[in-house]
Amino acid sequence: MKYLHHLIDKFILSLIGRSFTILNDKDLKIEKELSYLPKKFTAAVAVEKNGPYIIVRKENNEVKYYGYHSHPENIDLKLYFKDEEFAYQVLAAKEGIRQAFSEHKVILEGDIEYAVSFIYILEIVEAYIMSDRFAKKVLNYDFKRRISRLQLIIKALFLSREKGEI
Amino acid sequence: METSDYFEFFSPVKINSGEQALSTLNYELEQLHVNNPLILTNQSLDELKILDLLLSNLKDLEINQRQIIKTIPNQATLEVVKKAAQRYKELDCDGIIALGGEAIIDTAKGVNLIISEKIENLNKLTGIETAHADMQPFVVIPTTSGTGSEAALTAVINDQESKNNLEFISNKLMPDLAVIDPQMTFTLPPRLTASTGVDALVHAVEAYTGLQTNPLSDGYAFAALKLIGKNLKPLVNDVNNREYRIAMNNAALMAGISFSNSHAGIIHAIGDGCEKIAGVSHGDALAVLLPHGMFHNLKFEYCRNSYQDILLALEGTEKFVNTTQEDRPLMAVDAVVGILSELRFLTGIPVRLEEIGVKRSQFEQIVDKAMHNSALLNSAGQVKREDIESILEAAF
Repeated sequence: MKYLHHLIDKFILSLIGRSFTILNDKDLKIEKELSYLPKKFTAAVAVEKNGPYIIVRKENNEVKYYGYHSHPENIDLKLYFKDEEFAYQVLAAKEGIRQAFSEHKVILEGDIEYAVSFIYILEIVEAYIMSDRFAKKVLNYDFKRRISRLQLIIKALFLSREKGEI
Repeated sequence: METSDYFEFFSPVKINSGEQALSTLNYELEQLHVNNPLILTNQSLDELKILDLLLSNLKDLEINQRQIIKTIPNQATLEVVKKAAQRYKELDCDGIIALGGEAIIDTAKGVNLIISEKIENLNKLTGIETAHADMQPFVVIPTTSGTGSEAALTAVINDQESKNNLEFISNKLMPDLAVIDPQMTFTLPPRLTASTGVDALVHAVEAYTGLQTNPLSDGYAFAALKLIGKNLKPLVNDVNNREYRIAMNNAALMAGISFSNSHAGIIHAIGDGCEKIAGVSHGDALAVLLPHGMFHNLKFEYCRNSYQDILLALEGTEKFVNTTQEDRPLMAVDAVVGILSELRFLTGIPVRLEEIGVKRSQFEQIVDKAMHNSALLNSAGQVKREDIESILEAAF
């Protein structure tokens, strides 16, 4: 069971990273939060401290996805969970990231104000990927998809990640 | 909206509270193996002879002048933290004593991080649970009751170069010992006593209504509210009364423990925003925002349930029993408004944001700051910009 959860975590995390790139100019709330983050803001997200981490970076008001890295450097914000099972609860849409954060399940290395902004984006991206029911649960507003779930997932799966140094 | 069925609670601080608590210091420092502490404080506390009081209780130790830093400013800054850490190393100190309010305690927490983590640059440790080393022995002697910093796992340190406030949240920041002695807070005038009392009230109220509300933090918050309901107004009327002072010191401490574990919420987030953007006093902003934030939270069922307890704690059994269950949440807000109104009558604490210097033109920036305050993630409901705008408008 644990191995299955591990695979799900890894797949969803990668899907989230790719979806950042696709959604950054489609959702107004994501755009607004992105504008709050500094230029070249780079975030790394993992299910647990030892990684691997997916890397996303803000470049010219767009988000680039750099794939998985084991020991990323030059990172502005690292976000990971205390335990892989905690990550599974969030990545398998059993619990919102906000709830996990308030339960001390999330560890953050970096500026907390920017981390809050990043969590808002993460919340919206997850809402796009997951069911309408989950979206309603985690977002307290009339959430309207700017792209269908299927379209998003297909686009995300075919998205090639950025190469080179972070 | 739901609260959690999982919680974490951490409160490892030994607390020596009450009359003559200071006289336990020699024994406690010996237990902590501290022979050569660095003492952080400020000039006013020296002038008020509070520092002398501390030193007279450290008679077993030989403290030289260089071990006492009296220049800690009203806001903890990276520069001062670095200098104090440098002094700690130079003098080969083996423990830290923070004598003062929040800024001094936060400075001491920063020094402890630099020394214990063996780092030069504190920036690397901003975030949540980023410290992992064994910490240096750390004693806090608060001189303002209200902040609860002596039991808090947070520190805010200003980086003057980038003009940013660096925020640290970690269990490692907790002191080993908090000595809460009424002698140390006696000098607080009525206005400041009222303001710090309201700070404690906000901590307890928000601890009760945050997403991480849990049976343990509720216990501390309830006990704090009971003491505040009974002692805050009498203390403001008679600031030299030892009994009331001890009760309020304990209330502030318990409120600090509760909100440190179940987190602050919307009132703190907006209050911090007002402080950062309009430069107003934290305590004043919280005093103004408290009833409006509570009113906002009335729309959530679990908050309404929590407010019933708040009514019981603040007003006692008779009022609670004589109020219908339906009316209790609103009456809790009314009880808080009653306390604030009396404090305003007694000391002139503010009731409107305009009064303390917040301008309507600053609302947009305050909303932005509040929306990106981590306390907001722990607040009831998923708070929207419009919610904050309407609270600001109502409080203006």
